[in-house]
Amino acid sequence: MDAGVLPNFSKLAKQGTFHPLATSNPPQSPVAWSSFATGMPPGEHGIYDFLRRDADTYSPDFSISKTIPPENILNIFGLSIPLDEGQIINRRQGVPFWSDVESEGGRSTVIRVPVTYPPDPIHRMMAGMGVPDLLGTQGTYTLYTTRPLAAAGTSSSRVVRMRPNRSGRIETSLEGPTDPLNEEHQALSTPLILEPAASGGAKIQLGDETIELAVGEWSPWIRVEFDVLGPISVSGIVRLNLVAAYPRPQLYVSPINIDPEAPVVPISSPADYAADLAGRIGLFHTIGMPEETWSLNENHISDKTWLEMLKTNLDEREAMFFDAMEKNDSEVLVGVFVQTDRVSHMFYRGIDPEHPLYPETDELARGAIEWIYTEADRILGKVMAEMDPNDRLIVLSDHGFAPFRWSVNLNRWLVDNGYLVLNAGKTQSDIAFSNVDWSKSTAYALGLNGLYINRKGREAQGIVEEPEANVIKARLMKELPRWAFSPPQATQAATLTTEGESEDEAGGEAEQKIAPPVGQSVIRQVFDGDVIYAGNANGDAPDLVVGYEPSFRASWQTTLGAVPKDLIEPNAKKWSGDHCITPEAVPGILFTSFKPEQPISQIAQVAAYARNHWKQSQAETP
Amino acid sequence: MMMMIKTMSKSLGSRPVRKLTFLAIMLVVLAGLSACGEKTDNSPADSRLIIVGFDGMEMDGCWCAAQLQQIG
Repeated sequence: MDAGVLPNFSKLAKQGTFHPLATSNPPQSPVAWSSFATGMPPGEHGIYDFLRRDADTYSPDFSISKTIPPENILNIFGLSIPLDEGQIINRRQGVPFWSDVESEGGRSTVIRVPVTYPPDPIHRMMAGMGVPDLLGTQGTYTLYTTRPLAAAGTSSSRVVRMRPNRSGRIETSLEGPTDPLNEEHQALSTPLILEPAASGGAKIQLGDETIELAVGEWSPWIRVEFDVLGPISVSGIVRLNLVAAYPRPQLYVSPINIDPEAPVVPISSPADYAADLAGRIGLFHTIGMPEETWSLNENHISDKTWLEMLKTNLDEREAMFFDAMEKNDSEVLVGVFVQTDRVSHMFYRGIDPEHPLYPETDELARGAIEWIYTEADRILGKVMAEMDPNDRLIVLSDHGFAPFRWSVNLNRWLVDNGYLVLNAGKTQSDIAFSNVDWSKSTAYALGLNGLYINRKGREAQGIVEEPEANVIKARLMKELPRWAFSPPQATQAATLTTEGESEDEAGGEAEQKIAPPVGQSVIRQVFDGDVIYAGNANGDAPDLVVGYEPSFRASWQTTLGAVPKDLIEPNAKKWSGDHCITPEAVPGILFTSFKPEQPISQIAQVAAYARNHWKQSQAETP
Repeated sequence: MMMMIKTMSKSLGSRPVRKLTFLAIMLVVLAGLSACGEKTDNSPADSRLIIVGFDGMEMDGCWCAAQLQQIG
């Protein structure tokens, strides 16, 4: 603060309080923000991870919301006509404090808080994490390329190969949602045409709009209409970036966001609030996690391009929040800025000299986290300037951050130690446990921190009876924290180089940077789900929760139920910081503009404070 | 409200057409009043609890550790 880097946080701390805020277990955003909203522990609000597992199929499933399709569908003349409405359900249980305040006569405005989809029926809400894109996913971008390029191998991206004619003209299409009326559910699409532009960029026609882009330039929002039948169409909005120029152009198309001016599903409360807001601040990202990170992880776009996209997100969020602040018609106003989290995930490599990618980082990457913190400080300064003397301010985060240098293949460990058994002749398994012999398996890992017992009567092919389940849990709770980076694993990991390099190409410095921490503990603690999730609101709770040591985290393959070859691998992805580890290592922070009458030391205590504050202010009103 | 209805009733007279006009006007007025009742209360808040979240902001391990710890 003496350096004046975060003057507004400093000012707020001097005015009121500042201290760490204990996060949820596991310390994941949907879990922690659900506790923030309801005041409940995960065992009561029922959100335990980004992912839940389907006990019938052992497949990963999105834990935040659920879409139930219409029950009655009339199939006639090649059309598939729904006769009733489907349903979208927020899996979070419990009542958020903003709804309680409204029940007692107050008004609440809630802007983009995670796990608020579908939106609560309150005075004003823009739904946050959980809102899908027009494909129904949590964000699928499309990369059009003229070069051979492997698909990213996840559901987050689509790679489309383009073939120009002699003049360079490319005719392709952007695929949208599946046709809701078509029996075969074919994808709806809209034409996409590229041509070389005299300026050196590309002339791009998408739907009814034609624009010209220079290399690296972001387009404004482009509305795309997917025609269903007659006058019925589905509207989305996208942004484009010309990643590479002619003669071998590459074009990035953002996830197709639900059009806030014509939303196909409810994304705000009241329903027309999204359109009203767009009328005042312009079109904006509506998807729940708009800072699409996978394209950067896959090196499909550059650091600079990604940060420009993130800045747009930040500007939109800021405009939404201050629009609500200026309205000044709610006794409770809540807004969450997630950009601090996304930049920390993607640019920790710039501040962690021990990360495998640190040697490759430039000035932009090394300064990105400092930049987003100063942006947060700037926004805080604006909030403080616009507050009235009677207002109270709480600033908090849901968790902290730690380096992510090593990817842990927990299912590999379970195989090597006899808990998970692969089919005869198989040594590895693809996602969703494709090669697992469930008739011999007792435990499996899925999600970022979850570990499950293959229980008889619960899992579709469960074999473990109740008394034995507790024995297996006890064994895992004892064995996993003893797992240390042993020399054979270390040797194996040390031979690995960062992606795209051969061993010879990796410089001495880089090799030194990824030197494995021999003997270091991988997992600090394993928590018993029966103890920390008493209640298990919806039956989704994992049996065990794995608290990794800082610098280790579940590999992406583990989260989806795969069993790769190695136990631990260097993390060569740009997603280089994380927090899905042991909770005490990544606390959040809390600032208040006042001295709270009751302690707020855990994120779940904020809700109680907000409820009591409203009751007290009501009682004091003459 | 009743006073307003009586006043309007007198001024419109008693002929059937006028009665119908009166009823039509009243329906519009009542619909307007009803709509007003459904309108959101946008009056200024006397005081607000403002909560701003910065997802993932930390005090340990990051470049800002020193900055934030100094405040603490």
